[in-house]
Amino acid sequence: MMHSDSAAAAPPASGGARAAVILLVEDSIADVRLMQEVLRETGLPHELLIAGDGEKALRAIRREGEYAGARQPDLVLLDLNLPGIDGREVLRTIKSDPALRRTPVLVLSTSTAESDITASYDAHANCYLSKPVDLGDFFRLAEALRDFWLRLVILPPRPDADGGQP
Amino acid sequence: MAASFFTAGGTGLLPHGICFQLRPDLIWLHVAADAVTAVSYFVIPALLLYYIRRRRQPLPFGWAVALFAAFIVLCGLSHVLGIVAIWSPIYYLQGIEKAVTAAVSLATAIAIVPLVPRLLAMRSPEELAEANQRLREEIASREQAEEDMRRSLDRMNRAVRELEQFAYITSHDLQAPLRTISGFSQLLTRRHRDKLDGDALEFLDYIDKGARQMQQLIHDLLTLSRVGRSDTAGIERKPLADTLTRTLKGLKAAIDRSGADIAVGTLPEIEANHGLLVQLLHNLIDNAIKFQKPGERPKIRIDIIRDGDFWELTIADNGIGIPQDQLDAVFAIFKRLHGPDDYEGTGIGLAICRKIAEYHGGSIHATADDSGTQFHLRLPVTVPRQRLPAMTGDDLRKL
Repeated sequence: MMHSDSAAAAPPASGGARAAVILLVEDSIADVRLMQEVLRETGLPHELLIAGDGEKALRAIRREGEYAGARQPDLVLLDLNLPGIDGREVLRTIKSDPALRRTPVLVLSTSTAESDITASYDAHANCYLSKPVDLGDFFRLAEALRDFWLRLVILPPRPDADGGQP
Repeated sequence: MAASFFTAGGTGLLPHGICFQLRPDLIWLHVAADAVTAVSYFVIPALLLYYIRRRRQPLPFGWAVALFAAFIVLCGLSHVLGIVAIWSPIYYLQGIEKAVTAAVSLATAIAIVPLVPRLLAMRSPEELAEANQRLREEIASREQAEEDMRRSLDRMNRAVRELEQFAYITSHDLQAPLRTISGFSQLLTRRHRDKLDGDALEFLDYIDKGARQMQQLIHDLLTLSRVGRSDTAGIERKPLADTLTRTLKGLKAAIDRSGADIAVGTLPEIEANHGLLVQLLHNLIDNAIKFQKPGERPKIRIDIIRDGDFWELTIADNGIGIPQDQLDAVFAIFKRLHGPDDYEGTGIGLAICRKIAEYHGGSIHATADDSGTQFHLRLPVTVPRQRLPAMTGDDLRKL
């Protein structure tokens, strides 16, 4: 699985707007591919980092190992049910680390179990989204993500080190 | 010398020893017999007192025992005075002492009379031991019953947890592959429509329809499994009219599309879990709209009457009806009377309705005639408030 996927339609940052870096934590290749497709169709300049399990997710957000050269994620899209360290643990780790916790984490799960929803908010998830089954709903979700989280919301400033990268 | 001793006292009376003609053998026989009797009479109450004091529980009828002890002491005293009287004519003292003894013994006798039946009623140690044994057996059997109940409860809780686990797996693991199937079939149609011929598009449409049907099935199964998971905390007395308004709001698209005409009688306040009632009414009204002769405008009438301790809610339609031999079968899970191409559905909707009716301690049945179908929902006016059992894995298998 590729680790980074810059949207072909939107080359990174020219002028004022820069490409948002989204870390997608998702173990299903098919779901990753769907997310790539729907994000691409939103026409939003973005760079997608992909982590297939909890360990990779933590390395990606800390920019360690295979993610050492990757950019700092602006936003994390987190599936809860993952092999190994699962999404709940990833969320708790991110939100209890002062260096990481300001990065918004959007839980994106098929589960609508009340326990998952409350536990996610208790662990300071920034929002809880139900992963749609229908493609049309998936498109609407991606557009809403673009309009709210990447256009309306003012995200925390990126570290300076990042700005100089080509 | 001896004579003067025996006459001492100046009362003019003769000591008792004179009666024995001062024969030493006779005197000593009486002295010895009286002395031993007196000592014994003193020892007995002393032992009784000791026993009463050392007993851990208070002795029943303790006052009677005390009276008895006093009576024995007095008897002992009379024997002591008998010895003294051999040498000294203390007959007044002896007489007074005898009178006191008489009073105490009479009191003891009178006191004991009413005790007899109570003493008879007291259990012998053997009887007590037997009763004790019976109690022990009773305790053991109750403990066993409690243990059995605890084990059943554990089993039930485990089943409930398994069911919750099942519902969770259903919602997550079964939906993930569905998303793949429907997502990519839709993406294929959307992106490559111009490269696909009619057959390919038709096949993709079947894949998409199958996936949607599957999604609805999973959704309905989850709903069914959740009915009854909530306890009676959700039971409230609210206007049924509000509940119906909420239901019709959710059905707005279907009502507008079909032009359905819905007539409603006067609706009272009723006790129910109104969230579940919305689901039930939704399914029934949705069915009434759906199972309609082509080109016909659905006419639905909703009425409620009170029948003793029950409300009877009737939802009547002018639809295609149900064959008489299928009126019961329609409530079984996955039971469908029509192919999915004629009328959409999962075959779970009426099973959910029945589950909701039974959750309230009520029932539901259907009747049909030439004019259409009538569903009759019976709900108790006062919903039983005990914690209703959650549905178990076994219930699910039985459905």
